[in-house]
Amino acid sequence: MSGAAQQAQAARARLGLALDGPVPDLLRAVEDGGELAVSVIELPDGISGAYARREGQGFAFLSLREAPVRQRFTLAHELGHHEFKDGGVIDASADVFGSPTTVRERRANAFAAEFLVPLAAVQRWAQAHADPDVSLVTVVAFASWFRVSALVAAYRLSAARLMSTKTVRGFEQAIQDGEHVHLARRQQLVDLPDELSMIHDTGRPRMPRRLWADAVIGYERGLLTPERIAQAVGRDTVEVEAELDALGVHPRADEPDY
Amino acid sequence: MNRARAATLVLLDASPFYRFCEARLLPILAEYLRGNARITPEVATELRRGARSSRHAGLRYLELAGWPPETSALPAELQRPFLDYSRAARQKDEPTSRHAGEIATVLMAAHLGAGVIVIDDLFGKRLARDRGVPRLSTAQLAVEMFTEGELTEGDGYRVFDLSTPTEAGPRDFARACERARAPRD
Repeated sequence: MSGAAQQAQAARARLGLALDGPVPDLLRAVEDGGELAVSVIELPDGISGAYARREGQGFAFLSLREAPVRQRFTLAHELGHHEFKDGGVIDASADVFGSPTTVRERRANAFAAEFLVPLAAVQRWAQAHADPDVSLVTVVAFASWFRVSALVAAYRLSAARLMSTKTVRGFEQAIQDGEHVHLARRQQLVDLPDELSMIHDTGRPRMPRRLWADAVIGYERGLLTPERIAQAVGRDTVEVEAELDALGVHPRADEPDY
Repeated sequence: MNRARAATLVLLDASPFYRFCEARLLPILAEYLRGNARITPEVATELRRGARSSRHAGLRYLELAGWPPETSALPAELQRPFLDYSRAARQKDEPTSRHAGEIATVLMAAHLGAGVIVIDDLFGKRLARDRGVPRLSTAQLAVEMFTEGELTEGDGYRVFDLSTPTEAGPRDFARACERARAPRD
């Protein structure tokens, strides 16, 4: 087993995730475990994510425009950078989803693959599905179960020796042509919601949870204005005001000066 | 109500100096708070800059009088909160130094255990409340000085008027004086 895979298993254990199943909500697991502060924001075309570390705290940035399956893999990839104490990095889509040219990026991808779809979990899934047939339908069902893309699903099935490399190659073109999307619809495979899918549905940027919680406290104490919060998170002031209002949070009244 | 006279250490933001300067009453302020007052280096810088304008040329008095003394610079552990609060306070297009004086004043007052600070800026006022630092406004200080007999009623009202919004008038001053004279617990 590679060092990246071992590190991924150790990270799962630390975050309280068993090795034999999918990650129910990656964003929550990563943030609740205090590993990374995650922002989902507009990033330039061709950039899937970024990682930075400041004063010991890791920060991950995900592209708001990408589909949740890609965001999940990118987040796991950034977690890999964090685990290996890599320096700050801007991750081009080609590095995360294509053919990375550096050891560091390959290692982060290996970490992400094992973190999201541990081989032990693949074996367990295979046992539960008694001799799954080697078809794109299987790949799609597997991808839906593990909340990853069809391509990642195919690669992991191959890594677990449940599919040959040649078969996977055959599926690559079909997946690129979007055949898997059509199949998922036919199978009524609906992705279970998680925080990333909900963010995707709203289409609104998301700041790290702790940062938002601190912003709410700052607003309540009169130290932050909705304009300032909106400016910091790249959102519309009216939206931020509405959200604070919906939370029933209002600034404390000021004492008189005379 | 907080009292400046009763406090052994009073930290002031720049605004009380500006208002007393505009009322030409800086020497009386210096006399009243003489031994107890301090300012942070950030406020001292702001006052030196302010003294260059013709409207506040009277602030040069402070330099001539060598008053009030400056505190030391913010200790290392307060540098981070200082930057965080500066970022929080700064609105779009405002310079980075916009709230430096009031933030440094509140943080240093909490650090030194000052009895009271005198500050008018809204952010500084809220920060003082947040950090549990007792605060007076310049208007309240003027009322205190009048009720203590250190300012005439006319002078007290002049500073009060300069420090309060236009809707505040003599009746508000009289009410504030009544409250200041009321027996305290």
